[in-house]
Amino acid sequence: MKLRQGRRGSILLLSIFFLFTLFFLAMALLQLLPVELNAARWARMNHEASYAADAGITDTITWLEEVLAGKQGRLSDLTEDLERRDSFGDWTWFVKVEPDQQTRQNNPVRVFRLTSVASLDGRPHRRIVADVRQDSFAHYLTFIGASDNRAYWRLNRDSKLEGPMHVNGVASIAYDNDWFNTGVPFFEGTYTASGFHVPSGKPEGFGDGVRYRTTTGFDNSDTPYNEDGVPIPERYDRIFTRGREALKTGVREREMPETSRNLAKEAWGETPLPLDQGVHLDTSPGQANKKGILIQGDVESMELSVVQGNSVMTVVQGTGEAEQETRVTILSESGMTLPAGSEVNGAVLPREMDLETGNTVVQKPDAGGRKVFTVAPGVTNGLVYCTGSIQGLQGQNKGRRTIAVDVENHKEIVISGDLTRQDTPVGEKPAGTDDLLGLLGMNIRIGNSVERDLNKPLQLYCSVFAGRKNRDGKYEGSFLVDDLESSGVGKFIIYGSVVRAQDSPWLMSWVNSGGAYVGSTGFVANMKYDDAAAANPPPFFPTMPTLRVLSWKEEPYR
Amino acid sequence: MRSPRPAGMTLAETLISAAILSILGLILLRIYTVSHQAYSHGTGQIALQQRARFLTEQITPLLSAAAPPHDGAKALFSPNSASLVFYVPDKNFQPRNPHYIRVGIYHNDIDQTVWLENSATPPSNQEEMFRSRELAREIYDLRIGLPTENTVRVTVEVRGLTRTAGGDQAEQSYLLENLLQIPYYSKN
Repeated sequence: MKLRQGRRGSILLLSIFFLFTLFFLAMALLQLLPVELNAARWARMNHEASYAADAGITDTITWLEEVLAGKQGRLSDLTEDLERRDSFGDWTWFVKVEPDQQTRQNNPVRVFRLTSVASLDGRPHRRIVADVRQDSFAHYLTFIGASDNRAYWRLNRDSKLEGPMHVNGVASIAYDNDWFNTGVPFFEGTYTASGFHVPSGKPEGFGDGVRYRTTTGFDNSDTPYNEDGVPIPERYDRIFTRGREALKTGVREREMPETSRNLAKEAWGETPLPLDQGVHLDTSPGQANKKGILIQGDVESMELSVVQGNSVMTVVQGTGEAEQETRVTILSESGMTLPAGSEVNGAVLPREMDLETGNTVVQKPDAGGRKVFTVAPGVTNGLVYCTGSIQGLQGQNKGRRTIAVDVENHKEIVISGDLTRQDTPVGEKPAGTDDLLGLLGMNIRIGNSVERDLNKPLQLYCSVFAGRKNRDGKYEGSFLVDDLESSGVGKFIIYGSVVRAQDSPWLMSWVNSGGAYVGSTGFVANMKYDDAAAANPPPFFPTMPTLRVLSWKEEPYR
Repeated sequence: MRSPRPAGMTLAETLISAAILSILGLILLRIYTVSHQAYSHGTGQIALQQRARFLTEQITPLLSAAAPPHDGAKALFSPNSASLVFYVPDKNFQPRNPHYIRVGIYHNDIDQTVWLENSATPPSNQEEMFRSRELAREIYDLRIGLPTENTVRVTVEVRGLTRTAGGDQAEQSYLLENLLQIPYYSKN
């Protein structure tokens, strides 16, 4: 073999040069790639962990709502700590459900803290802590169980709806012709409706679901959306303080409960109700704090007052010679002395008896010349349940209280005068929830004894729940004005919620045969939102099987 | 008889070899320069990206805690494009008596810092996660937009200098945009 001669090492030199160049390029890539890969992997893992923890919270909320709706599980299970877990792919989530103290004590407005931890291969990565609270009807400033096709909410330049409003059915809004040029937002809160209205001749889903009309009638050009259904933001801004975002149509129906009899159990327990007319209180040790006050029979009048710092409720039943007055005093601020010779829980007192705070005293009609008292150790759970109607209710409330009547038997509450609160000067917005009052009946009526004077408005510091959805799915009952068509115009100011099954007018406007306005009768309504009551409603005020997220904190798991 | 082949290269061969080697050298030098620039740019971008990501990772959990202080109110609003005000649960949050406090995120374009400002006083009333503090430095620009009332668009712009192959410094920037949906609204 002949050796090739005359070739020097240029190939070797070139190879070495290329090698070095490639080496440096590889070094650069080696430094770049892991940093980039790590950053991408870390970001991806964080996202996945966040979604996994979020899935845990969402799944748990859905499950809790099903339990609250009675679709699965037992409500009593919700008074203890619970744990839930599930996995998908390599990820697992673990949720701890912690009821708050009041939920453990069976408060119908349940509150839970949910802590969801997302783990990959058993190693925790991310945590979400969320506080959720069961929705109460007191959340709404106004609620209508079934919308009336003939009724519209007329936008008014002189008043506003300060809180959320919900309608089961189609939302209907009416306004002046020039509202979109000169109007000011009427709805300060959200407006939700379960129905969805489509203007005639338009395709399914056209518009925003609301039925609009102006003073002169419906006109497509007078809607807050254009002829293609595209929202005109500046028009929505003249209806809703929060603009288009405040309106949600086609949401799920919020069903009113069929009965209030469950409240009779909360007031008296599982044992059969006493049959004799009068005010009843369970005197068993430890029961007066857990139970309420039961009133058997119709009540002619109920006066709420505050005496020496104690809440007093004076109940009159029967008329004429059969009239009986019973006085219930909850000793929260000062004690009471019962005179010698009076009958207390069936025994005659040989000497005076001093009662300390923390007791409830029922003074019944005198019997045989003796004063008759029932004394129970405790201040009740705040519930007053009456099997009959209450024909006149007024006064000043102290303490958290709900007065309920038997809705299933169509019992009513008639408001006969101002309902004020001890903790709030008349005319001011309530600052706390210490003296909340809730009213629950088939109808809650403003009685005809209430003076109709625009300068002396009826002051109502209470949340009203009137009506029900019956077994046939029909909404019945409402918040009404007695003798609506009688002469005179009054005004009522209500600080709280007005929940009613049926829409009903409080004010009638009259026109003569020529169509000219000749006057009004009834009451001008002024509804003020009590957001503290919305968050912490009166005791046993009806709730919904839905949960509201109030806080959300997401953080890496440490 | 053939004369033996002379040893070494002819002048022409040497010149051609030198020319080829020069061209190859130039190509390799160009490759090296481009590689070096790409490397410098890449590492610079990574540093900028990390700075921008760091800020968005600081901001995201803060914004996800936003909730309206009461029904009818907005959870967040943007007074201008460089700041955002929102409400978060207070330190001792009570779901039965909920209170929310106002916090703000704003960009100081003079010293290029981003701050979280908590309105609760004294500072001991501020929850650890939401206490007033500097969130990030060397942030050239922060733009915050609210496409809807329940989404926030956070755009972070960071800038930095990188050294070129020639030893000069060149400015580069990185833009990171995040769109975040507030859980309060998506859950309720």
